Amino acid sequence: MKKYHFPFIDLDKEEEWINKYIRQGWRLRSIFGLRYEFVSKETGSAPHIGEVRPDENAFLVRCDVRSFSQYPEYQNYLMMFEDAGWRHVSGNMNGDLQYFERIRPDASGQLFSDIVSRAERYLRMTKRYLTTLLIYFSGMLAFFMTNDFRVQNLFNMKDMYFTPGLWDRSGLSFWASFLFETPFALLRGGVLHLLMILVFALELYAVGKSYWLYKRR
Amino acid sequence: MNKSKHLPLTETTFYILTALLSPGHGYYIMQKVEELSLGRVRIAAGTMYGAIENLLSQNLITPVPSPDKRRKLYQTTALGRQVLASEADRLRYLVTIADRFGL
Repeated sequence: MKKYHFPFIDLDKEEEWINKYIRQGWRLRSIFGLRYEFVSKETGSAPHIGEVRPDENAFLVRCDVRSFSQYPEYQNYLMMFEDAGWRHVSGNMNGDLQYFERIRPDASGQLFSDIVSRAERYLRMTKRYLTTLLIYFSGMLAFFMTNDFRVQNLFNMKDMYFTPGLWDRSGLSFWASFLFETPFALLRGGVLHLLMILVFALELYAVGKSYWLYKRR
Repeated sequence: MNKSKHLPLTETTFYILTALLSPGHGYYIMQKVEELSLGRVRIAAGTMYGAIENLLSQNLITPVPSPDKRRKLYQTTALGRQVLASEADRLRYLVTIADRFGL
């Protein structure tokens, strides 16, 4: 079964969203973008190692936040988790979020055994979001400096259409020109600027929230 | 002495440095620490990885050549050994105090 879902910044919420299905007898097979693919526990089409005696922690999914610059380092990390009984479900070397599925009974139900290391996930997340934000901000600055933004244009969209006599036309003649010019008018009106500001605000929110989650432990 | 900034050691760190007096990889440490502590101290995978990174940056452990390409081996450094010895002295002294006061 496939479920579509935008990952939570709060990792406890994210884990719980997934584990709700685990407790109903599903296993998380893979994640591709926003698509979470679950398979039934019985069909066994998701790989497992050795004998898995069912207990309340079987097939639970947990998250870590880590990225690597060298592949051997990443392999070492994954190997340590596999040895401890956790199958790597999703995540790659550069992408922060790593999902693991518990496949051996003797592994505990958690990836972290103390509060500090558990909280430090969010610190790494904050750093990642902050880097993205700064890069995006410099791009946004460059864009704003070379493209004037006048708020009043947003309220005068009609003036953003430069086709002479457009508004006196009717019928096909009007619609053809109108639809053709609309993307350009929107750009002139500052829709792109608005979108960039919106994205910036979302990224700022991500930085703030992940840092707050770190501080809150 | 540059040892003092490492002391006192947390219980977990003490166990890890002791376990790595001979070379071992990540999961080996987790098992060894659980065994040495009679099951009281269990380090989970994510915490273990972070602890190794920390100890590496403090030069208390160091990577050693490993026959297994996918599992890195670590060992306690000379500095790590000194820190362990100082910590053991500190703990031994605390025990004499405890005995003196009948604790």
